[in-house]
Amino acid sequence: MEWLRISTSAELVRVATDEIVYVRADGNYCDLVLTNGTRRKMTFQLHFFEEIFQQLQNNTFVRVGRSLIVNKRYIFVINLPEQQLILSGGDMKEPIVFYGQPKADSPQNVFVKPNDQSQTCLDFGMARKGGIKSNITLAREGLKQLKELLENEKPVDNG
Amino acid sequence: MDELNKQKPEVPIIIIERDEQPQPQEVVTKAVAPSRKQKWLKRFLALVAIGCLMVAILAGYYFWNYYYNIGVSVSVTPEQNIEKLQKPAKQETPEVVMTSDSILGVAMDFYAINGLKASIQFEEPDTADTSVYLYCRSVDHKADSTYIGTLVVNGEERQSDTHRLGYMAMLGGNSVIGISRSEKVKDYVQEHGGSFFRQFILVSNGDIPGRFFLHGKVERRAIGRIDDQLYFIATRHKETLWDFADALREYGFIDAIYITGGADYVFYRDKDGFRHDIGDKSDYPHTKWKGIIPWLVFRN
Repeated sequence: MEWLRISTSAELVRVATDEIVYVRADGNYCDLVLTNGTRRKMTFQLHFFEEIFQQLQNNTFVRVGRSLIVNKRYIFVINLPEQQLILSGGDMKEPIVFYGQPKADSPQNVFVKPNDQSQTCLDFGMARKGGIKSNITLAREGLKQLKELLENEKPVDNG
Repeated sequence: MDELNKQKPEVPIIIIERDEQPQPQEVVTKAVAPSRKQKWLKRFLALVAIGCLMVAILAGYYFWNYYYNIGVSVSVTPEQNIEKLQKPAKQETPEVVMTSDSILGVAMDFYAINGLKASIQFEEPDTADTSVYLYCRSVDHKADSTYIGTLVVNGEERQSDTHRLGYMAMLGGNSVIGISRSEKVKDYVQEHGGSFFRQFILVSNGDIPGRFFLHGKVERRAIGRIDDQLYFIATRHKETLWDFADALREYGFIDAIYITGGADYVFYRDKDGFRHDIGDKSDYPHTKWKGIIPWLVFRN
């Protein structure tokens, strides 16, 4: 069992790595989301998380695109035609759904408010940063790479 | 939150804490689909296994066919013949009783052997030896002095060859004939110092084999059995092997095996001890192959 003790100028956050569902970039900051639904805004950039995750003994985190790091433990569905990534499991009461392509007619394609407990839908194509087409392409490629990564991953044998 | 986003990002200090307590090992059940390579390996191994099975079946059939399916039914098993050899010899008046008959156009002399002890020796019996009641040849031999068919003389194996299925075994005062490729009787006789030889079948269980490989007409001889009575049989004229065997079968022989040397001189003695010649006396003694020919001798 491993924990991250994250110390910034204003606060100290201590979190078990197993409880991290994903970390998402938000401008110069990032959002840390736990299995129990807790969301914490961290005042540093996403790459710090990526660097520290690589030092874990059992690194279950994988970067999907430029703005998202997900815990592989909670990957439930990767659907390429739908450009859909669903995280579920652990203490999560509701699955977390990511869409890689904005769907104008889809009510799910909105960035829901953190206090909305019904279902969390996130656009991980970074559409707000501009360049929708390129970002969608990147997201689709990231999703495909994630799928291939998990398919080719050797089964864990602790015996 | 907007104010927060406008701030300059920090450089955090992140430390990894690890639990020092040993964690129970997670049990992971593998459910890995076989790869294409594994599939082909399995198929290859299955083919190899099937091939090995077929070879084993063919080998089993070959051995069964060679050792057990000898083409004729058998009247007495090797085990039964061993039991007969183990029994004490019958106390009978030593004699050879000659009778003559003709059946299916084959004229034959039958020499019933009673109370005599059979053995094999390489020296031709002397006509003056009154202990010899009957003698004849046994196995064939080749020009290089090797024998055709198994030959055991007084417990010493001179040749081992099971191609000829008929056999005669001699131990103590008992003599038996039988049909088998098994070497059980030979091994038993050899172990106990007896004699044993093989010749080809003429009659087995009252039937004759489907074919014979010798087709010429010469004088023929045989050792046969009707019930427990042993006979030496000689044709009076030249006969084909098939005619001879068929006549023996018709006469009622249960088993009969061939004896080589159809025209060779031999003799027998009646119950009064008088010697009677069989064949041309001018052939006696046999000088050719002297010491090579194994003679089957019946003594009192």
